[in-house]
Amino acid sequence: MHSRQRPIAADLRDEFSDLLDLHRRMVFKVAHTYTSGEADCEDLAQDIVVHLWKAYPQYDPARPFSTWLYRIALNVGISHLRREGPRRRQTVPFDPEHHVPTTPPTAETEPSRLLTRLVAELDPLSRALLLLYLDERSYREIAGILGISESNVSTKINRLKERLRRLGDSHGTR
Amino acid sequence: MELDDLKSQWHAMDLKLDRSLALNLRVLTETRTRRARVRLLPLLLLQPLQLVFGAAVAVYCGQLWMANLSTPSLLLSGLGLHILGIGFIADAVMRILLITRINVSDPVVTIQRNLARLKHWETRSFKWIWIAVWALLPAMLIVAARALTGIDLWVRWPSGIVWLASGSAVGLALSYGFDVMASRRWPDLYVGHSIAYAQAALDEVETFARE
Repeated sequence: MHSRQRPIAADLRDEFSDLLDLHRRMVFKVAHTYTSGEADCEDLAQDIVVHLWKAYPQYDPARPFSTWLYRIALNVGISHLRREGPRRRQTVPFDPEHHVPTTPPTAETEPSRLLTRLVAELDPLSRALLLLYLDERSYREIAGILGISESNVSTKINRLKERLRRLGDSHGTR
Repeated sequence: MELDDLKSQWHAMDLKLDRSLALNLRVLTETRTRRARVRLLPLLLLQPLQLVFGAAVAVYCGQLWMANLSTPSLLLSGLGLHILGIGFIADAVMRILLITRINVSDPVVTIQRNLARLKHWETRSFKWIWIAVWALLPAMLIVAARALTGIDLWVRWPSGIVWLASGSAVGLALSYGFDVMASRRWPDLYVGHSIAYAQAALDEVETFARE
């Protein structure tokens, strides 16, 4: 929460840049969820920042910045995926493990693959739900960001859990 | 494997992602703001332009057919283009209404529903306008000749108008054929512009919004 007076235009950009620095991982996480390569991920992250900046003058400082950022970033990400069409929807999302050559293989490889598979199978809105859940947002906050009821969030999370179990079974993971 | 087990994996990926992407968001903010304004321009300008164009066509053609009730060629051509002009106005008004409902900081489902409705409307109205333009080509020529030279082209050159009408029918059939062929041959390129895809996106949002 950021309670302060709205600065004049000259300071607005600095204020926005500071807030963005604090929340930059959220931007990357959304970009990562809706893309399938590093260049694509960076492009989408840039697009998200452009949309955030355009909307920033209307941002109400009395409301949480993270909720506002997630709403815009997810909308840009979903629209990006829809523009790319169903062909891109079927591709496996960007897995940073495959793009960081210094990272040694670890025991986390299998869960990482499972997570990547799960994300790839989901429709754009369910991807948003999964991202927010994994990011440990409360059901109330998820409901506020997505614009659905808390009970709907709970129902859909349970369905995601069931889907993951089935996916794990089909991949031979306990 | 439980969903909660993936949370630690997610956070580990998050850290790696942060390191692997060298993008400097602060620099980006400095350089991309001009581009943002430029990208808004077509959206802001296109609809009022269509509105003005539609109004001009509707007013001119409305006056034309009302002043030529006893001349079938001018009556029918003027009436056809008058209706097309009203169609342009209605389409622009609908697009403006749908665009103004889009607020980027609305909840995700709300904005995706509004975007899907806009896309659905755009794909549908584009096809209807395309059909109307082909079908009204002879009428356009008759009205243009009347406006520019004052002559009734149907009286002066009836065979030409018949040939043009035949050409319009062939053009309409060919563009329909291309539409069908393109959707089969290049589905990945074509799908973003099809009514079925726009409807599917809308259905997807409504299904997600329901429990």
